[in-house]
Amino acid sequence: MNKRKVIQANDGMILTNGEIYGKTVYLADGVSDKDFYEITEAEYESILAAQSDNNTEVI
Amino acid sequence: MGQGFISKYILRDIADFIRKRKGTTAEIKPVDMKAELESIPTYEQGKQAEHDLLWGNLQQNGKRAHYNSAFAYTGWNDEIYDPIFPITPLNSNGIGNIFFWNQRITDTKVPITATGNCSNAFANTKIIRIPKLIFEGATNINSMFLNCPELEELICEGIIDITGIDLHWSTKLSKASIISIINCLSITTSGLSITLSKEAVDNAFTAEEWTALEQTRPNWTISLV
Repeated sequence: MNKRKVIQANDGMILTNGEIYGKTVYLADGVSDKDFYEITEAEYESILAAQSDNNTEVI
Repeated sequence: MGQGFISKYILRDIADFIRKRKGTTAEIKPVDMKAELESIPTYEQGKQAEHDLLWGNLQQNGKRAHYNSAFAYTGWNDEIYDPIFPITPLNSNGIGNIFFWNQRITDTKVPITATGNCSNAFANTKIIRIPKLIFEGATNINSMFLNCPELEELICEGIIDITGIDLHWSTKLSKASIISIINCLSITTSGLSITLSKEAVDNAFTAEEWTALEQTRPNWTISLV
């Protein structure tokens, strides 16, 4: 079995292609590493916070 | 040896007691009183009967159409949440928001079928155990496990054939859970992805074990955060 391509973010960074986020990304067949770029962990947390804002608590 | 007699008034009182407890107006013979008394449900039996009556209605005897927001928010806790049937919704509203923002249930207890809309099903909860989650025709699994930091056990069955699983908050997820999730990923789809906690994977697997597992699904992009 051929090993798939695995890409790793630098310390303090997160890889993304705009949809998938990860420090380590195991690329599926046909997915190019060229589609991925790095963002800071702070930027990633901001994205998550925005996502959470759409899931607000109602008591 | 002489036999004692019980006053007929006392026997009448005993008979009245039995009739009241059993909700009957039937005549009761003294010779049957012992058996009749023993057949009166105990407090615990009555409590169980009421419990089963409530949950039978709440779950429509296992045929409830959907569980959208059924146990969401603050009302339910581990003691009160006690279903007697598996959670198997019958229509496309599925289990969307079923436990959304509930911070007091830690164990889902019964098998749950993830069908139809499953978005936010377990989002923002303190759930520790989901002993059986069966993916069967889920159409939306976005934010299904958003912010589930306490989740340790998530044993999955069925087939996951859409994208949307993000479990990176679940750093305590067990080895058996991760294996079951990966094994549910469809082998025939393409272009899909799943996100897991890097901490959970590193704690559960050796490098060789993880490589062997992730390589079973080369058609899925697997990201670790």
